Amino acid sequence: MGAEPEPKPAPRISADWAAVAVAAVLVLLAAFGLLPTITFLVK
Amino acid sequence: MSTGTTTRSGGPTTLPVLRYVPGLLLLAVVGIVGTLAQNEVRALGKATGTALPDLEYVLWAIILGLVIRNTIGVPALFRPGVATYEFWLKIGIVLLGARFVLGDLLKLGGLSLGLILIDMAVATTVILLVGKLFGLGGKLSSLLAIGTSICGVSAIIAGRGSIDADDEDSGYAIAAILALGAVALFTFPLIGHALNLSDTQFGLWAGLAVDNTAETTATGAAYSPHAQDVAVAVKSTRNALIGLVVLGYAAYWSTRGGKAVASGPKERAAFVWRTFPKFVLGFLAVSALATAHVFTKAEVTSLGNLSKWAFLLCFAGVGLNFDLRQMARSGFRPLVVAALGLVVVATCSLGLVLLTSQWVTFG
Repeated sequence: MGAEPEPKPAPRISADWAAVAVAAVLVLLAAFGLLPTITFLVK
Repeated sequence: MSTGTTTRSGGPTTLPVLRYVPGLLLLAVVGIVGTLAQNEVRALGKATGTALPDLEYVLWAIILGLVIRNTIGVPALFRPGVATYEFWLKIGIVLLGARFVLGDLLKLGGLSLGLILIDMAVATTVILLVGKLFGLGGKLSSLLAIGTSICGVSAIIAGRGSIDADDEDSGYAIAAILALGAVALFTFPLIGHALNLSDTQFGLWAGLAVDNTAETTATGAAYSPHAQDVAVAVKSTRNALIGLVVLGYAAYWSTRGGKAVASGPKERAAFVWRTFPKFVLGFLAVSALATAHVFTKAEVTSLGNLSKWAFLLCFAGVGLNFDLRQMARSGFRPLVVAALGLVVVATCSLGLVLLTSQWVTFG
């Protein structure tokens, strides 16, 4: 009997690329004028 | 920097992302309480005319997190979310690019590159010599030198595999670098104010001398927002050198009981790329977009504020992840060697900053 094919590991991206991807979404929203005004609690 | 995010999935019936929610809420609460503490203490001092300690929210958030971690502890339910703090740091750095003109960034990066190379030579020489004097193993001294001269924890993690150091050595080195990062966070702003350093000078100094990116960012923010911007830009330049420096140490140790990590030019280039912090590319890309006037002034402000929110979660996480008992177990000698390295690097960097900062007109 042939061995079961080994399951391929799930595709993973590094934390670095994940952070870049999340930031890219926010930057694209800003570039298209879709980012709402964001304030911060300390001036 | 260490990678704070984990990718293990939860049980088959739960959404993996839900594991992070309690810890993320805790980061947000600790961070927001930090901002409220700054605002309230300032208002109270003003209203009553008393000189209360004027701490920035950064330090309030870190102190609060530290107190929670080292008194009641962080329950297991919160740990996955709390461990994501460096993920927020990276997002914050990428978004911070919107506040930089690319020309300023290149100028700052060029100047800091020269200073970093001098600092690296000093840090490496001092730590290897003092390490020998204190009877530390060569690999532990190398890890401390890598962590002090480049990027703290992630440089140590990259270096650990490359020079084939054991877990105990890397554990000591990481604990020492984190402990000293915390010391720098509270002492650098005091020294900066005592010396009346400008925001740019302080940012350059923190970016050059504070070891771990989260602590560097927090140290800059504890001084002023502009100092934080400069510190992040300088530290990103340092971070970009991880691959080259670790490769140098790997080449040295490959003939002294380490292992060859990259034999040919192609493998070496691949190694440098693998260890390169990719969020630095995002930071540069966003800065290029801002330089090309893709964003309005209001959008730049909003992106800058989003960056502050991301940093706020990170700062809360720095405190919540800092276990004093673990630090105490890390060994006295590595801590002393790294501390001497920090003092020498901090003094050397400060001298270099005072000598050269007149050439930087930025922001």
